[in-house]
Amino acid sequence: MSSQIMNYMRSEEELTAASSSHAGAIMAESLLGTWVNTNAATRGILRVALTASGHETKLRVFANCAPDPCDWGEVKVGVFASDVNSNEAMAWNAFYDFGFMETHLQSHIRQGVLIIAKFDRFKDDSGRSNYFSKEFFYRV
Amino acid sequence: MTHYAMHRKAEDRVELSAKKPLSDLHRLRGVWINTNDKTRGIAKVVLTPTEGRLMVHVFGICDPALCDWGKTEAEMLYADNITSHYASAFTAQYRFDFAEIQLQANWNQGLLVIGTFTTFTDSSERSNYFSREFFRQEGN
Repeated sequence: MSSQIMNYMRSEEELTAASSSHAGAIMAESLLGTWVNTNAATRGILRVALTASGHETKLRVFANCAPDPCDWGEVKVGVFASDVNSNEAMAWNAFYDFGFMETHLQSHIRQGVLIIAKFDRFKDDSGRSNYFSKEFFYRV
Repeated sequence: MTHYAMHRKAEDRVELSAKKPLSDLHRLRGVWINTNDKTRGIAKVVLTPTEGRLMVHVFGICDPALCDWGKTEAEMLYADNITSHYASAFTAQYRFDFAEIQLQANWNQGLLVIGTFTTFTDSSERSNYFSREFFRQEGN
């Protein structure tokens, strides 16, 4: 592997020789669990649950709706490390398609807080602008 | 009687009469320079609005010269809420023969925050990874 020429478009994408023996599999344990919004009055996502399912990581989202939370259902997430040499997941992304709208979720952990960025795109004719928002979550 | 658009969280609820197009891209326009002059990631990004679309041009840190990622059109533009017509975030995708890089960027208090999710498609055994960097507008 160390003799292989690796392509890159940023210096940070180069694999160091010291870590060249790692298997490339990313462990998701640091992401797993139930994460609750730090803002109890949120009108967005109330909580998310990340679970291991075989070699996959699954996400379930519960959002603020009236009178009961909206259960977005379970989707598979992609997991990402902090750099090319790391095996520990610290970020994930996921996608939901509700028909009238779709949501890309991009998330990372920083100092124990899970930060979720939402990119919402409306596909109906409601006139709502596609919009970006960010919320913060702690693990319970 | 008030009619609300379909929603999966309370913050998406809006009266159907509240329509505004997402059209103002001035926040994003310009050359954005990494606030960290020692970065090994993205050196600068050039954002050019063209007839309601946004062209993205990324330059990565490489040795001895910058890596020119080329231009790509933003996949989607986002406001900061459902009734705003100011674009303040975007997503874009780069596909190289060794990796796919998803960019998510948002404007925040004069800074452009760019998160990248890099998925390697070669056999280099590099871990897929997430990075987040901050950019100031050139001239500011």
